[in-house]
Amino acid sequence: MIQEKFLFPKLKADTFDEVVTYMGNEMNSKGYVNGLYVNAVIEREKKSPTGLQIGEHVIAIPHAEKDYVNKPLLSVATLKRPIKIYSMIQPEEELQTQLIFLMAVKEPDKQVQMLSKLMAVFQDEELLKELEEVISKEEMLNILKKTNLATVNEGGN
Amino acid sequence: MKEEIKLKKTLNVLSVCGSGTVTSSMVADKLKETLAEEHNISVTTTESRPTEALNLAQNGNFDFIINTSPLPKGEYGIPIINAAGLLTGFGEEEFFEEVLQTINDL
Repeated sequence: MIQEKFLFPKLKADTFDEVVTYMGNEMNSKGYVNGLYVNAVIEREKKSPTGLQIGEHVIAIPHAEKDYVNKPLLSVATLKRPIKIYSMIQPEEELQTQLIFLMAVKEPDKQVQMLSKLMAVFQDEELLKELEEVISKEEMLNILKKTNLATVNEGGN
Repeated sequence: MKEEIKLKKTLNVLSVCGSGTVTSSMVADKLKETLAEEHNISVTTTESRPTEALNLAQNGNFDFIINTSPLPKGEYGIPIINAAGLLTGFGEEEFFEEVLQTINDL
């Protein structure tokens, strides 16, 4: 579910599309998602944005429908500078985020364990704070390992 | 007698999010788990997109709706409970209070 090569601390990007394209292309090059995934995520975000205000933090949890996913994966990026996104709950509300959780979910109804762990990660403000501060992939992985997400293989492979 | 039937009933909940899959499954699972473990209430959920919700609500056999993305305007005919709190962790308690109140009023 989580691999060091899909963790991107302190990424430089100006827009949401840029971030998703970068992360999604990496996922595509390793076969986790198909070639239409990036576009599907970007289009989906326009219709139903995924920005979430979690206490003092703002995260984005972009994703696409399962048709574009080959193997489940969570890719995480923190950004050098915040980018503009919109709120899932109130789509007209503009938010600034530096923390992107790009999800590739294959079978949501069968990946109950993974989804509930993901939700616990999003809600953990201490963890979000730690993620925003790290500068290496290794540190990022170590933080995420504490959540057990790294060991979840449900529905995978 | 009526009470007994009510308790045995499995509730049908329509869970609505932007893509009708990922986020709605997250909140649906949390709802199912919490109601089963803490209140002994059994729930089945159906996930849908906002655009499909009105038709499903009007034609399906749902007890109430939970949603993380806004729903288009319309006569849904069943209670709608905002599940944003489940997703963000802020307002989770209030969400379950509202759910339990809704179930009581069914």
